[in-house]
Amino acid sequence: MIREIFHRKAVFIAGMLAVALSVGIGGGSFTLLRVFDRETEMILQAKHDEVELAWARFRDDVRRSMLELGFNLIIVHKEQTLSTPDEETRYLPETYADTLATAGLMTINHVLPFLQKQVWWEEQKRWVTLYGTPGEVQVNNPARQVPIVRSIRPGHASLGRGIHESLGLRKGDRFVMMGREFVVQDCRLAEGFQEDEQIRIPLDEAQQMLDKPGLITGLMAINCVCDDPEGLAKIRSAVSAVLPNTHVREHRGNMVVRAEERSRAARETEASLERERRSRADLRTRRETFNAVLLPSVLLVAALWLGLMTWMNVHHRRGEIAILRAIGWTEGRVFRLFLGKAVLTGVLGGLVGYVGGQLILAVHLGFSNVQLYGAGMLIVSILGATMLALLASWLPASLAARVDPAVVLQQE
Amino acid sequence: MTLQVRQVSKTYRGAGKCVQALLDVSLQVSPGELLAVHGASGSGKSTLLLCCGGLLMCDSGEIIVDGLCPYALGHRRRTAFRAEKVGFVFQQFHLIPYLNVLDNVLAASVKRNSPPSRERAMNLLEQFGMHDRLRHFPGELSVGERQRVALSRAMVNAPPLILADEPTGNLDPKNSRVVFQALRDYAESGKAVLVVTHEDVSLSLAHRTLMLDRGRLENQESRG
Repeated sequence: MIREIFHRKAVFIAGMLAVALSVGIGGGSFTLLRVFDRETEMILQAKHDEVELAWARFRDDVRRSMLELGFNLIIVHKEQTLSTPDEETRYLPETYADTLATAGLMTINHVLPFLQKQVWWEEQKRWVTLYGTPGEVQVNNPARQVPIVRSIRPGHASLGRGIHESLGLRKGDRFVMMGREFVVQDCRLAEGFQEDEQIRIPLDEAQQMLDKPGLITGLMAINCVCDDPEGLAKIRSAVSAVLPNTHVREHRGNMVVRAEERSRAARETEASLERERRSRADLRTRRETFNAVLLPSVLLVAALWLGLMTWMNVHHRRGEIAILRAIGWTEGRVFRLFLGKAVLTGVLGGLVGYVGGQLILAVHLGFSNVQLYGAGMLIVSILGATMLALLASWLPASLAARVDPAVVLQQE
Repeated sequence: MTLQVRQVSKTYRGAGKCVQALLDVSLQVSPGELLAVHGASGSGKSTLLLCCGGLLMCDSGEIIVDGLCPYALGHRRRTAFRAEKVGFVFQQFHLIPYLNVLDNVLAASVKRNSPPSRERAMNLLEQFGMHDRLRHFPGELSVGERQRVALSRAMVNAPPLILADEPTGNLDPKNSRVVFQALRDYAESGKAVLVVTHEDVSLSLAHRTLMLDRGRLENQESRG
C-alpha cells in the first residue's frame, strides 16, 4: 500500500490535502471560537472588575460619609413633618441657632439656620421655594472646622439650577421678586430636586418677605462628626437635650449626593457589563451558526473530493485489482487495501490539517492561543479525519472489491 | 486428470445481441501435459481459459480442476481455489507497476511472507535468469523479462494447473521460445498447462494441440 501511495503521490496528496483542509478549517473554527470565548472572558472580567471598583468606590464614599465626614442633619419642630401644609408650618425661634452653636457639642461643626417656604412668584408666574439663611453661625467647638457654607450678601440671591436655567439668569443679573430687587450672587449646579428650585436670600430679608420675624423653619447641622456606628443616636440625643421640642432627621449632603453618583456609575457599569455580555453572546451565537453551516459544507466537499479521488484510483487500478483477484486475493483483502489507504489519508490529513491550521492561527493570533486544545484536539482531529476518509472511501472501496476480474481481463 | 472440461457452453448476452463463445467444448489435460488450444481472435480461447480458471461461470457443462469443481464452491473458497490450484499467465503480463520483481512474484504467494515462499520465488527468478533484477520495477524491464516474471508469479505456489492466455503474444521469437520451453518444463514436472494462442511457432512445443473455431473444438492432434 505504501509503495502504491508513492507510485501515485499526486492522487494521495490531493486526497490528503482535502482532509487536511477540512480538519484545518474545522479545528481552526473551533479554536477561533475558543479564542473568542477567552476574549469574552477577559473583556467581561475587565468589566466585572470595573463594576467591583465602582461599587468599592461607592462603599468607600458611604463609609467615609458615615464614619469620617459625618452626617448632615436637619433640626425642625418636633410636630413638623414632610406632609405639613405651608400654612400650618411650625417654626423655631431664630435663637435656637446660637443655642446650638454655643452648646459645646463636639459632634456639631457647622450650624445653618434657615427659613423656607414655597411662594408664588408673581413676576415670573411660577412657584418657587424661598430660602432665607444668614449663613453659618459660628460654633463654639475647639475642633471647629473652616466654614463650608458662604453667606449671602444683602440684596443678593443664590439661584438653584432649575431657576437660573429656565430664566436665563447669570451671576450679576438683576431680577425682581415680590416687589423686591435682587442681584444674582451665584448660580448653583445641580444639587437635587428641591434644592434646584430654591432661591436663597439673606434670612432677615426672607423673614420680612414672609412676615416671620425672628423665626426659622429649622437648622441644618452640616458635617456632624460620627466616629462610630451609634454616632447618629448620640447626636440626636445631645441636640434634643439642648433644643427642646425639636426633631433631628438625617439630611443628605454632598457626600450622599456623591455616593448616589457613585451608585449610579456603578449601576451604569453593571448595565454596560450586561450589555457587553449580551453582545458577546449574540456574536458567539452568530459565529456558531456560521460554523454550523461552514463545517458540514467543508466536510461534505472534502468527503466528495476524497470519494472522487478514491473512485478514480479504483478506476485506474481496475487491471491491477482484476489480476490480484485472479491470483487469489479475496474481496475483503481488496476492500481492506483501499480502506487502509483511506485510514492513512485520514491520519496524515488530520495531522497535517491540525498542525497547519494551528500554525496559521498562531501566526495571526499569537502562539499562546495554539495550545488551547493540545493533545485532545489533535486526537479528535485525527480520529475525525480518519472517519471522514473511511466514510468517503467506503463506496469506492466496495466497488473495487466487486471488480469482476473476468470482465476486466477480457477487456484488456 | 488435472483438468476436465465437459460439454461446456458459454454465451455472452447483452444489448439484444447474443455471442456464442463456447459450444459443447470438452477436453482434458493430464498431469505432465502441455495442451495448446489455438484459433483466431474471437474464437473463444480466452473465454475457455477464464472458465477453466474459476473466473467465469459457464452456462452449461462441467469443469473439474484437480478433482474440484470451482463453481460448486462458495465465493471465498473459490478465491482460495484460484490461489492454490491455478496459475495465470497473460499476454499483457499484468505486473503490478509499483512492486519490484520479487514482490510481484510474492504477491501471488499463498504464504507470501514465509521464508519458504520467498526462497521459492527467488529460485524461480534465478531459474528464469532474473536473479540480478530482483529490485527492479516492471517499468525497468524488457517485455521478455516481464513475461518471465509473470511466469514466476504463476508458478510460485506450484499450482497443479497453469492457464496461459497468449503468453508469447508480445514477445519476439527468441523470448517466445524461452517462455514456451519454461511452460513445457513446468508441465513435465508433473503439472498440467493449458495454453491458448494463435501463434503457430509456439505450437511446436506443445504435447497436444486443439483448434477452436467460433466456440467449437475442431480437431485434435498429438505431438512429441
